[in-house]
Amino acid sequence: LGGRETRSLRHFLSLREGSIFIVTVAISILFVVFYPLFGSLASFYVIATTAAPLIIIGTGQTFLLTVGELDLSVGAVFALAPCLTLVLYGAGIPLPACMVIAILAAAVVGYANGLISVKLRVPSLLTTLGMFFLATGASLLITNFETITAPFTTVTISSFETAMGGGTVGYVPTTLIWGIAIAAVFAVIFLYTKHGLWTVATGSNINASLEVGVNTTRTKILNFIMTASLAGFAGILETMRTETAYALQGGFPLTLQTIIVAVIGGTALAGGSGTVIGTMIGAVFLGVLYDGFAIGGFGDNEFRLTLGLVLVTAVAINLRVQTIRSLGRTGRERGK
Amino acid sequence: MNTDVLRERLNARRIVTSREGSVLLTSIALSLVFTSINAMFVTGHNFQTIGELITGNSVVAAGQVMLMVMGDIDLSVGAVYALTPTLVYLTYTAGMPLEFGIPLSILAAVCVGFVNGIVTVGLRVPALITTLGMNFVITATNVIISRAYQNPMPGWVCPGQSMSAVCPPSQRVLLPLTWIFGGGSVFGIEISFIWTALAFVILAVMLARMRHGLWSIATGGNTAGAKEVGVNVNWTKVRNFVLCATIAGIWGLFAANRDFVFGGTGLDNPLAGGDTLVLESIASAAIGGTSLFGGSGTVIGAFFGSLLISVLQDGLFITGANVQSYDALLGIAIIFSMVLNMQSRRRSRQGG
Repeated sequence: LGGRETRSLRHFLSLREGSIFIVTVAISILFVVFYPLFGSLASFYVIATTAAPLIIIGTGQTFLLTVGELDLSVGAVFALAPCLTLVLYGAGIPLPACMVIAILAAAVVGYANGLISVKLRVPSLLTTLGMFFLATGASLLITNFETITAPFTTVTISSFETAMGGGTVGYVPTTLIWGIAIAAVFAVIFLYTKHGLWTVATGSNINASLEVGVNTTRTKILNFIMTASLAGFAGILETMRTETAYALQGGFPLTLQTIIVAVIGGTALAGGSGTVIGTMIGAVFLGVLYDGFAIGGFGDNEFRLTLGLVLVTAVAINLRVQTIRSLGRTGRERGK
Repeated sequence: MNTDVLRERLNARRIVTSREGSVLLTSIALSLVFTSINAMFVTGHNFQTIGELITGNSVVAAGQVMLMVMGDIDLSVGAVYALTPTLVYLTYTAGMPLEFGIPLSILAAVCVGFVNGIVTVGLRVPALITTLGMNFVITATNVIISRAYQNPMPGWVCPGQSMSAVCPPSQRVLLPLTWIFGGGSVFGIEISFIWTALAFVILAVMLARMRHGLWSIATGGNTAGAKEVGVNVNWTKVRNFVLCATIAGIWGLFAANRDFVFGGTGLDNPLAGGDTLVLESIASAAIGGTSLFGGSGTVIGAFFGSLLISVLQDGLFITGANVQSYDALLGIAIIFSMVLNMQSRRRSRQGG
């Protein structure tokens, strides 16, 4: 390899997203070689619909982790918003209005998370754990333990419903299109706007940020609201796709997965550094792994086992890479 | 100076006492409400049910407290809770005696805790991630090795007959180790209740009076400061991870062997515990006043937190009230107690 090529390769590997991207591509190639079905359209649909909600909620979680907090209630909000949507729709309110109300309700949940965590200084893990139960309870109460079937899909799927996650464009599920669009928009917000800068600043050194005039309280609360709203939105998309809503959809497993995709994508759990694109790749990785294992005839348990090992390994490696990266930087400076 | 310190201590103690007291009072108030709705709530049978609910998560919550005072957490307790009975079943069906299988299964729980600790301390992976990964790995292992079946626990033998023969309950002889590990009863009290009470005394003394407890709180309160004064921070952390996992493992055995008390057969459920136990153990600790900021927490608070949760769960069920509202009420209880906790912390800081 020429000097320039090795340098660019090394640069790519030193990117936070680099390692998970390479692993995802490698594992996809392995799956295609061993299980030709992995390359089929049905398989693509599974990967896309598994990854989409994780991309959307993981994006919010990335902001929150970066700012030094986390949200365990997303799995419950993922159920609350669609349940509310369908309950309201059943009461005769037009569908778009139901969705808006439901997302606003999700935003209120996020606002409450933020207020309690930031203003009352309760650790967000416990705040949002409480909120997880509270939101699940609310969903159970409004649905009365029943699975609600979306009544509108029995006739024909309108273009609005297709756009809101109920169909596909070509072969691509609209949920995935939403996922990629949201990740792209929020990646720009993360990298190029004041809010993104403040998020990173607050997460890496809150006292210094306060000194230089960052409104850390607002930044944190805004991120809580954003994450909960995205969770609600992802839940609505999922319900439009599956045509049902029930109080226990998503739940704690989904919550854990949103944190996992962010963390294996390169976002630090301790705050101060994060990457939306990494989270997106992490979500795709999880989808690929899930789909590949299913096609390969392995059960859910082998998937979980592997995911557990990958999670710890990825975080351990990420920590090392970060150390090496910072060492490399100082080394270069010394070289000059 | 000296009196100031003393007063501050007394002041802090009063606040802590009132916090735990308030949880206890809430539990009593709730019990009264449930009793007024349905008198069945105060029957001996129902106390047994509540006792079983408390046994299920209170000691695990106390183990969680030991970690939470250091700012760590263990999400793998639910999985370890199911791992031990699975291993006992597995070794017994492989022809090994319980004298081998039970220590082995507890050793496995110890190892899980040790790995949690080593990965967290040695590789500096956050405890949340380490134990989350461990949760996935162990849960999957449980289901795979038990082939997703609920298997009968080994517990009794039938003198003169083989195990497979139909044995009337009157002729069954409970194995001594099964009796000790949750299958027996003393004067009509389940033995796991006694172990639970004993564990609380030991853990409370350990956290409040012994060096290990002091080191744990010191590590959580100020890691760098604790290191300076010679606390072995890393080893303290590892020990608490081991403690928490071991507790989860042993109490998992108790849960699996419980049915033997009533003349039934214990069940090794590969999905016992699970996320519910993880969440409820953290919730109990939080309601009992232990926060995740580290540096403060009480074992007895975890007991009262668990009591509150259990009374709530049982009461909603027995009164036929909206069972759906359990989740919502639990959520409110967690948030409310944490807010109270933070307020009293801030007040005690300002007072000092």
